[in-house]
Amino acid sequence: MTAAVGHGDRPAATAACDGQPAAGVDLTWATTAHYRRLASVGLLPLLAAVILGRPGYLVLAAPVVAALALAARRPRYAVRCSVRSSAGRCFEGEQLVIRVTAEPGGPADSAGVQLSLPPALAVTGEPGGRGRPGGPAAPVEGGGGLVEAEWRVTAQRWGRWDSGRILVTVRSRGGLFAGTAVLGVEEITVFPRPPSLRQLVLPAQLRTRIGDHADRRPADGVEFAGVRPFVPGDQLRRINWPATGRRGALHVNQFAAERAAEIVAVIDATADAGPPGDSSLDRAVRGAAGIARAYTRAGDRVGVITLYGPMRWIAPGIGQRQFFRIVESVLDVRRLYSFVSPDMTRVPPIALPAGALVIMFSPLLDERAIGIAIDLRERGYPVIVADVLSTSPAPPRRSAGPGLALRIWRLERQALRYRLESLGIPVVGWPGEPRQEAGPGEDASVRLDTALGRFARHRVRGGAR
Amino acid sequence: MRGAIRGVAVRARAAGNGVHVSRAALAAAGTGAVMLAVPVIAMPATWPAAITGVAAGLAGLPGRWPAAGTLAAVAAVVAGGIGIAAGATSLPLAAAEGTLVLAYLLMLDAAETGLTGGRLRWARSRLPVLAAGLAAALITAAAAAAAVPASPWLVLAGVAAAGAALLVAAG
Repeated sequence: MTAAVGHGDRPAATAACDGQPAAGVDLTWATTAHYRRLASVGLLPLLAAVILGRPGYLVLAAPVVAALALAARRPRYAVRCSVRSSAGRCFEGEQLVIRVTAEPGGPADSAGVQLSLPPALAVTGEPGGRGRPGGPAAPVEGGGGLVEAEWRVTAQRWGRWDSGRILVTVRSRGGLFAGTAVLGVEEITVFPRPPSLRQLVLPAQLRTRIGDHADRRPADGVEFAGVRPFVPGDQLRRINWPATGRRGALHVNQFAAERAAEIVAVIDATADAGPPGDSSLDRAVRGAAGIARAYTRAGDRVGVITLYGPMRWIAPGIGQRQFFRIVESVLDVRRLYSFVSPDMTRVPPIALPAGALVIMFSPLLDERAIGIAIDLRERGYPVIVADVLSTSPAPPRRSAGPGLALRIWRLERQALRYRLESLGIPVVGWPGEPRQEAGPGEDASVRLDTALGRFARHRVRGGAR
Repeated sequence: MRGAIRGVAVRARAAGNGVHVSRAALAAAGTGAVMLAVPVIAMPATWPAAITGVAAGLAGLPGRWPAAGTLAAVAAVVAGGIGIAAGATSLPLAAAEGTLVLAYLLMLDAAETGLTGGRLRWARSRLPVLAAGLAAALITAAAAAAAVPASPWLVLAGVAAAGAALLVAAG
């Protein structure tokens, strides 16, 4: 994933600029500190002259009053501006370029633009700092003419981000008035960066759809599955002559059926713990994106179910388009938190086909999600739970036994894992063991194989227990 | 795009741990020193006001206390006013002092906002202001020096001028 999803420059502005290449934006004018300073310094001798009746004091005030009078008229002009971004969609870690031009519509001393971004986007390579997430970037200022600014922005966290702002400041000729306008940067969609998964985990039961995986059932595939006695109707070219010669009766080769797997990734959004950018929800969404990409590339059918209250799902499908449908659907998870308990019985069979392998990314903090994993297993689905919790609870500093509390919590987590595994639900830590503290700069985009690789050797069984 | 002034990133002024004093700030400090020295030369008894102005100017030099510049200018005006009241400062000298105050305030503004368009461009835009200020001061000095008898018409003319100035500013 090196290229942004979109191609070519496109207008990324705003209600104010209305997406036009260069549109007039009204400025809000206010007096500057220079104006107030001139007024207060000039007022003192003026008042003294009036109160004390000494016209000589007016001589001290006259230059300042003259300077005020020369540029006292409040400007009325607007500023022509354009905001363009190189792409409106990208993956985590990719760079976008935001270009802004601003040109005052009248005489001005200076004009400047400043970009403010949400914490998920960081300006890289600017003089004020490198890779600072969020906050305002260093302002770019020019003379009274056209100002051009270009910022390279790195997407650091998946989601839909529309809180980018560009502050345009114009200082009128003489410096007595400053006009400001705030432009919005159009929503930037950052897709989760999918971790790689080379060894696919497959359910024991493959559906009847044609795919790339050899099934146990014999059919017209290409993978040799065994030899059986000839029956009328078999093709003569399938006769296995060595076996026929040894056994004295006609035998034919039989081949394994080639079927597609159906995988459903479940994202547990009922709880979100951990540092922003590496929270359990961030990891869960990245993991689901990794599952979607790996299986769609292999020609399998992948769907996603998001648990956050009222559930959302994407029915299993194939192809690159399905991958983008899935990553698009999970972007709104962070905004849609709800206290409604998710009800898996409401998921239609088309979203959760019988025999589909369920890979659930969950921090295992909410009983509702744990209950759903158990329910799915009891309904016969093969279920794997990837524990995405990245942090341990921080006990109070002055607590009598912080170590003891943490140990009890860890023991409870182990007991939960044991309980799930005894029910036939293997639990794996992803990307690492949840007991280990994850540093804020830790790269969560490790391979999914580290967690799921051990299931690739033999297929995951479902069925009633 | 042709002929456009390419934007340049402005250095963070007086930000962070280091104290950065720009050339414009130093020029403002120099102008302020002259501005405060003139009334003291004319009347040495005004030195407390001048010292207050110098202290304020120095305190505001790094740009962390914007009101310090105003305080320095006010100190100069007070010192000049004392000199006028005592008769030690002549009206032409007061006109020069007023112009120096204006020059100091213009330099202070340049130090605070940065000379984004270049020094020459800034000087070209501010020199007419300074010239107008000096001319206004000299005209006012000449008018103050002339013995004009008290007249209600004069008061009316003054009020009318003030009203016209307000209308211009509001328009």
